[in-house]
Amino acid sequence: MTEIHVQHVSKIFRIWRAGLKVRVIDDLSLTVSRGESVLLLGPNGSGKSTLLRMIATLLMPSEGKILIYGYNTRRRSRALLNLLGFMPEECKFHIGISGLTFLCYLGKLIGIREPKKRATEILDDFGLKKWRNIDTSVYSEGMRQRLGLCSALLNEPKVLLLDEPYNNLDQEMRMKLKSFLHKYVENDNIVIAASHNEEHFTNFREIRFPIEKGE
Amino acid sequence: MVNVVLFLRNFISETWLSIRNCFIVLKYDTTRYLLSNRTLFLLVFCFVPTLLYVSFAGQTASLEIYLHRNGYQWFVGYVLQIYVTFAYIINILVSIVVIQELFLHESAIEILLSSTKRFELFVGKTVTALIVLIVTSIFTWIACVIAFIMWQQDLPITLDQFLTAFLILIIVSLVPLTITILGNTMVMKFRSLSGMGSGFPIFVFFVIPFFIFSSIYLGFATEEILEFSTYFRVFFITNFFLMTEDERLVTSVDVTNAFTFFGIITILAMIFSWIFFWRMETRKKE
Repeated sequence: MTEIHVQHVSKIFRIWRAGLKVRVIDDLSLTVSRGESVLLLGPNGSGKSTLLRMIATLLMPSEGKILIYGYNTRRRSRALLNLLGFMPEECKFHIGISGLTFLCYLGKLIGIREPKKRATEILDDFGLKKWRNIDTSVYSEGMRQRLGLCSALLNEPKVLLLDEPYNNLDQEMRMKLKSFLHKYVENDNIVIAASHNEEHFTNFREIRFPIEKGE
Repeated sequence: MVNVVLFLRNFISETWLSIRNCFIVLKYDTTRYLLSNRTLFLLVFCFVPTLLYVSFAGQTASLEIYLHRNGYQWFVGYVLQIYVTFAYIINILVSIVVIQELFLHESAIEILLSSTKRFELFVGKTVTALIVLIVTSIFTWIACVIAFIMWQQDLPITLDQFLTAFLILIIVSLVPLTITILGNTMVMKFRSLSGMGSGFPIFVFFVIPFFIFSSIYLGFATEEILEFSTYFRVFFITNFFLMTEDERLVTSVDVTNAFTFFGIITILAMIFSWIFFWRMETRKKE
């Protein structure tokens, strides 16, 4: 059953100083079904993160539309936001705030019933048990990446969007994440990841960027 | 009928969730600011006017000599003027830091925006900025009172006069802050991730007045340069609303000029903030 429809989507960025209009994505159409994992593969600047951000409702398509479980991303309804979990490439958090406090805050905004319990569970799952009450500014890059994953997974989203998820992770954590994503997709969820290399993304349907018009 | 009931139910539930989320953002951000080391550092600055005031007064003459020479009313006006001016400088410092942190450099913006509505974040953060500013104003006033205690004098100001001065301070601080935040409205409207919309208003309403005040108090410029400060104009306009009818007649031309100056600056600030916004948004890459 197809749950994500990307219909003739284009994204244009203007570069004022150079007087240029850059069409990063041109007339892209694709569909993703329930229980499917998709890898957006391509070099830097090819438009894969832009597409991920458009699906995450962070950017608006210049042309075309994206439908997720029937909801148009232009409207950003609460029901749509509750379906999505997004982890950006660079995970940054507030200085002076612990990982647990941040996740509790996020959980309350999303409307999770017991945010502290859920946040504690997920932090423990991703190996941040000892660090959960410590200021995120002292976290290493890898730990921030793990906290970013926790943020994306907090509401148990139907659509998980990950931008370079294996960056900065150690070997053990990479294996753990790989097996986690495999199980996650088996539960009828969708995972869309963007990366510049296909290592660790076995069983993912590859979509190579840059995509030619109408492909 | 069923559709209407369903619509109303959804509307009420959506409104309730929006209000609830605004309060969650407000509580989190206010606590984060007011209990942070940065705020404690900024609050220390609230005592700078006190120290300057005390040292200035101590060097020239005692309070009795001031009262004897100029009279009680002059002294009250003088105290309030100094309080409002210095408190405004502190508010400028605090506003620059708070707006930058809340809008320009919100580090977790992508994670937050992918989970909640922009409107709720925007309202929560705006109210946070206002609360932080009001708390700073109160602290500055406390510092002013401490100046008198250190001087071993009773505070020669009535509650009415204090409230008037406080009201002026809040208005002159909130007007630029509101315009700066309005510069960010396009961030929400067009789903940008940059807060560059507030760049130009911060410069016009906070950085320029800060340099003007600093230049005057450090002796590099005379008070005539105040005319180029938006603070001076807003202060003038606010005072106009608190004047008697006779006073208003005398100052009407100056007030019209102040309105014109402030209006032009405000429109320019909005236009430039939106231009900055467009440049940042359209230059954004992966």
